[in-house]
Amino acid sequence: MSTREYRVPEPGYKDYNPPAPEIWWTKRRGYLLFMLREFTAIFVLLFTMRLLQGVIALSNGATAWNAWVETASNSTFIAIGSLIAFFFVLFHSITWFQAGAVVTPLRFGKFQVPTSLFVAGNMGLVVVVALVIGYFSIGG
Amino acid sequence: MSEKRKKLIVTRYNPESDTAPRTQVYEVPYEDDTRVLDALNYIKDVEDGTLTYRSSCQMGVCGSCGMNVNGTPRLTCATFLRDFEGDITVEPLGNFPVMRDLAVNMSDFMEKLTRVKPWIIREKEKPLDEGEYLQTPEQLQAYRQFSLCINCMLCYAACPVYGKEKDFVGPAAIALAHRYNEDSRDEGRAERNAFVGSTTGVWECTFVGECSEVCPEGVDPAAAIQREKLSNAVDKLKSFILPWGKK
Repeated sequence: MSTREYRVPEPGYKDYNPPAPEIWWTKRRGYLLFMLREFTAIFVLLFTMRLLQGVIALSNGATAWNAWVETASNSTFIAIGSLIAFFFVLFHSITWFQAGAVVTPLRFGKFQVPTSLFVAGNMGLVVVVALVIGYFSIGG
Repeated sequence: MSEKRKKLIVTRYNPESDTAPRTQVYEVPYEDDTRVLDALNYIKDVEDGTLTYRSSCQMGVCGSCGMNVNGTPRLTCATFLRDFEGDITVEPLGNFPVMRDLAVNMSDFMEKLTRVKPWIIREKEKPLDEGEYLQTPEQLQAYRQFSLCINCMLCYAACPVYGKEKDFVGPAAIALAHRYNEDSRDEGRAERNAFVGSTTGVWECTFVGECSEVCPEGVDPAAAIQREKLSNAVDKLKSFILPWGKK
């Protein structure tokens, strides 16, 4: 068939435009994980605010600091909230390092560091830093 | 040996008579090596000649036969019936206007593809007698992965951002822009950035990452977009710290 014979759709023929559903994020596992990753931001915020409250209490003197520690150690609500926040922040960190492996891939000569190793290495570093801080603030 | 048969639930849309797509069920015989595209060819040849879909090379090179198979964007020539339990739904690629049955309108993608200027741009061409622009294997490696795109548009069908925001330049077009930006022979990054670095360009992407999951060629467009974001941010920072520097 020559290009001259090619029939252009008649005017009035309409393409069908599929609607974009509001619940698109339930359609695929990857979408759901993405929404969960974005959702962690709320818990990161709440945890940071609680921590900031402690820092402010510390700058306000011993009484304020002790009161902050007191509520933190006696409230089941804060304990459960912190535990939930901890897991969300952990998930957030892992996805952050996964993104890091994609954005700034590490290569040593011919060896390309795989994402799993990149994440494990960075998480290891997080644990080391946490232990050092823990040592100086509690044990040291 | 009894013949194995499978049901295909195929989306039909006739722009002359339908206001919305409907589905039609076909039962096809299949063997272990029957692909979804073979099944569609069988339907068109034997059952119903009016079924419309695109295909060309039938071997995963041309990128024409992309469709949503059981909801996932796939090349139908590389998708085997044996891998699915039960009935198989075959729909046109998501996020695109449907022209007829399984054929989508790809004009939007084609326009975006040209707008990222996917060719080598030189500030000044060197004369032919000075020879080729040489490149080391390492320099080739920097962009090779991103040059493997076959324009099958599966990444657009998997991208929820493109589904909501049709102005988004999108995964394949940005990956191709990245391919040329990373090419040691190219000097066109600033020129491409007017389109690629805009708010409807890389910054529209929220890094869902499904584009890379469905890519049949391992191009990883999500990585290309995130790296373009990084170099854009670095450029911005540089122009802020060194305003007298090269624009």
